[in-house]
Amino acid sequence: MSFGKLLLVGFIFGVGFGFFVQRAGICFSQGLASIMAGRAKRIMTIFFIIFIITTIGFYFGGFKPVGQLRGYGFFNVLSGIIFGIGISLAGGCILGTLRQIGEGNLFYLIVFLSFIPGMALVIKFVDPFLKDAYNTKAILLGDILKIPNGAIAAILVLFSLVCLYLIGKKK
Amino acid sequence: MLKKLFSNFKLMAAGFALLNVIMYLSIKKFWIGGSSFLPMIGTFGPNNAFVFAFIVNLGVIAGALLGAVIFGEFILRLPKARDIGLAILSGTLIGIGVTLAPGTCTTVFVTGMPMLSVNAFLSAAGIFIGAFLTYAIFTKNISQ
Amino acid sequence: MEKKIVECRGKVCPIPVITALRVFNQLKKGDELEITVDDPLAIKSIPQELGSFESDVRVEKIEKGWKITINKKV
Repeated sequence: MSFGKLLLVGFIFGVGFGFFVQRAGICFSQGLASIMAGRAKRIMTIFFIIFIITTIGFYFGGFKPVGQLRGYGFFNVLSGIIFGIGISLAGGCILGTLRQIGEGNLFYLIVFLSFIPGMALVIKFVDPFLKDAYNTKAILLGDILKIPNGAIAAILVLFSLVCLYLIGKKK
Repeated sequence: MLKKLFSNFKLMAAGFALLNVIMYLSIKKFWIGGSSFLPMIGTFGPNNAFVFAFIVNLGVIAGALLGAVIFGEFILRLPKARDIGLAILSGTLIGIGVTLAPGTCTTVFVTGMPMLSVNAFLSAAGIFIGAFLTYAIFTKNISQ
Repeated sequence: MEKKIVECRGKVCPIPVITALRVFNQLKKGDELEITVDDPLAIKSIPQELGSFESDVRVEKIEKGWKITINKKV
């Protein structure tokens, strides 16, 4: 498939993602805030639904570590903290920012464009000495725990199903 | 009837997940949130992987616009002057977090964890810490 | 029967939802909270988070946003 065609296919999938995200109202930034405020029913339901379907789908497609480029290391936690603060201040994670631009809230267009200085900062200054700090080989949970990934997936999916049931029952 | 169907958040979340799986099974690509914005600063990644992810993200904006307009939820809102500083600060922080390691909410909660990718769980821990700090310091007393 | 009115249009997410959850917790049985928002996510998450058992939630479209009326049943 030519790269141009792949981009078109990607764009169409993106439109589908954007439509579903808008209709379902998926925003992890607000989800995290409502968890902190003691109301986690909605975001946990959304998370578990996505987790169950995606895990099963990816099992058949073959698990592949996300983010091979940077492997895994302490920087994941550090970047998570900075990212967590950023999305909580902005009130929109990546999904939330893109969704709210589509919904007409141009505050998030500024947030979107402000990614550029942040990215340039890391690529230009931090990246050079970041290379060795990384365990460059990204890895799956099963490979670390020496348990077949399929088994871990099955356990997590079952756990998610139980949680979904409990959430549903808890009025 | 149609409006009720497309307002059922569980169904829509399931549709979102299913579409993610279909994309992975059909063109062997999943949605990498993190580095998908790097083309904005001229980094296109190995065989243009980031360009692909960036185009997907532009599609997401179009899809959200489509959904908002069809169901009458589109409201054009201009940012207030006093919020612009917050937008720039938070956007920059997100930009740093996105590039330091693949750890956005998409690569963690939507595709990372289902892929059992270890860095997703590490990033998730960081995201919770960051969110908690922000909530404890800002969000809590803003709404008093 | 106390009625609280909160204006959250123009507020950055997640403030509208957090404010709604916070004020709702302070309400007593029978009290009513009327919150105006312009964030489409708020008209989805507030009713879904507070609806059914604990309260009746009504959403009406108003100029430049929505008015969410929540009265506490429990």
